[in-house]
Order: sequence, then C-alpha cells, then structure tokens
Amino acid sequence: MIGKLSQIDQLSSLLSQSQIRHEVISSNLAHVNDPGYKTKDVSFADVLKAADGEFDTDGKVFEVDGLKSSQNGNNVDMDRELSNMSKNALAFQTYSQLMASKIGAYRTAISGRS
Amino acid sequence: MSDGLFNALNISGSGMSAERFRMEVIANNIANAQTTKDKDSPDGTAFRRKQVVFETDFASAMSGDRFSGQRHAVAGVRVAGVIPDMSVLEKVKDPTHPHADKDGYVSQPNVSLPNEMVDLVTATRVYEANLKAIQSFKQMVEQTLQLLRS
Repeated sequence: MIGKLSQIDQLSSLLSQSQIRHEVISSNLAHVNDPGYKTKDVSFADVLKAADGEFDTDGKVFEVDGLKSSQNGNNVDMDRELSNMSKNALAFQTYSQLMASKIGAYRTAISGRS
Repeated sequence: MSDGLFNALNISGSGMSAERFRMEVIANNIANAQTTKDKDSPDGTAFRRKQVVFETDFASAMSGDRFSGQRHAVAGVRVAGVIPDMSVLEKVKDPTHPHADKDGYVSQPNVSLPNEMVDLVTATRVYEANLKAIQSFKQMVEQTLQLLRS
C-alpha cells in the first residue's frame, strides 16, 4: 500500500508526535519546583482523519485544565507526568515495532524470499 | 527534526542542573543553621536562609518555532536568582555571647531543619524524575535506530 496515505507515513508521523509529547512532558518535569508554572500538554490533529497525507507534526501546546495548584501557583503533578511519560514511551515502542514489521514485509516482498 | 533533535535532553538536563543547584543552596542553609553572624547578610546580623528562584528558560528554547504560532514554547528551566529569606529573625537573650548586641540579644538564623530536609527530599525526587525522562528518551532513540538494523 504505497502512496500518500501509506501506513509507514502514518506510523512515522505518530512517532514524531510521541517525540514531541515527550518534550512537553520533560518540560513539565523540569518545572516541578517552579512557582507559577502551569502544566502543558500537546494535541495533534487526528492522524486517521488526515486528508491527502497531511499529518500534523507540529501540534498545539496548551495548558491543562483541572489540576490542583499548590501554594506557589505550580500545578505540576509529578506522578501524573511520570505515568504519562510511561504511556507515551510504550506507544512509541508499539509504533516503532509496527513500523519495523512493515519495513520487514516490504523487504520480504522486494527480495522475493519469505 | 534537525536542531531540535535532542531538545528533550536539553530540557531534562536543565531540570537536573536546577535541582542540583537547589540542593547546594539547601546544603549551605543546613551548614549555616547556627551561624549567628554573617557578614554577607543584608543587615549584618545572623545568617539568613537562601531560596532559589526558577524561571522558564525561553532564551535557549530551540523549539520555539516547532510549535507553530505558539507563544508558550516548550523550554527548560533556569535559576533566575538566589534570594535571602527576609523574615524577622528570632532573638535569644545571651549577654555572654560574643555576637550579642547592645541589649544582650543574639539573633538566630531563620533556618528550620525540618523545612530544609523536606525541600531536599523534594529536590531529590524531581532530580530523579528528570533522570527518568532522559533514560526514557534514550530508549526511544535506540528503538528508532533498531528500525535501521532490521
């Protein structure tokens, strides 16, 4: 299935998105002790709905609602960030393994061996 | 992904440096918990505990243009300054003390050991969390490299 909407393009943009999300989570963790800092997250346009293969690899950084602030105005919950980081890392691992098997399939097709 | 390739490492590294610096300041506070005369203090009396002030390091944020149109760039943290805690110092009556003032009172440092220990534990936890972020990122890069090998 080569073409603009090929699964490899999809997976590659999902990998980029995971990397960007990791950056945002890292920023939250670096600012756990910074008064007044508000937790950030990033949202991407839905990969499955992408038209003409235009995947969103920029993302929109926004401030998360509904978190409790401590006395100094900081609302980073370290446990929440660490668990998000684990989830993100797991998702990244899934995408990269799917990508590896896709590439493997193409190699098999090209070489004619199975 | 060119210059921002390892931006996550810069962010986590800055978090670790900032917390390590905070630990140094706490160690200085603890070491001076009994220092009744500090020539560097703003009013020449006892040692005043120091606090670190952090701020977001937008100046060296390389990812400012990656999040198109975002004013809230994702950046690391930096130490903006070290400020003394200017709360009123306790005075203890001890006329025989070499640092006693003309009324026989000696001002005491405003270091509270339980507070400092709690700050130290917090700083250590945050340091470890940032270290975990670096390890996680390293794993992601290694997995990406695996794609080339298979």
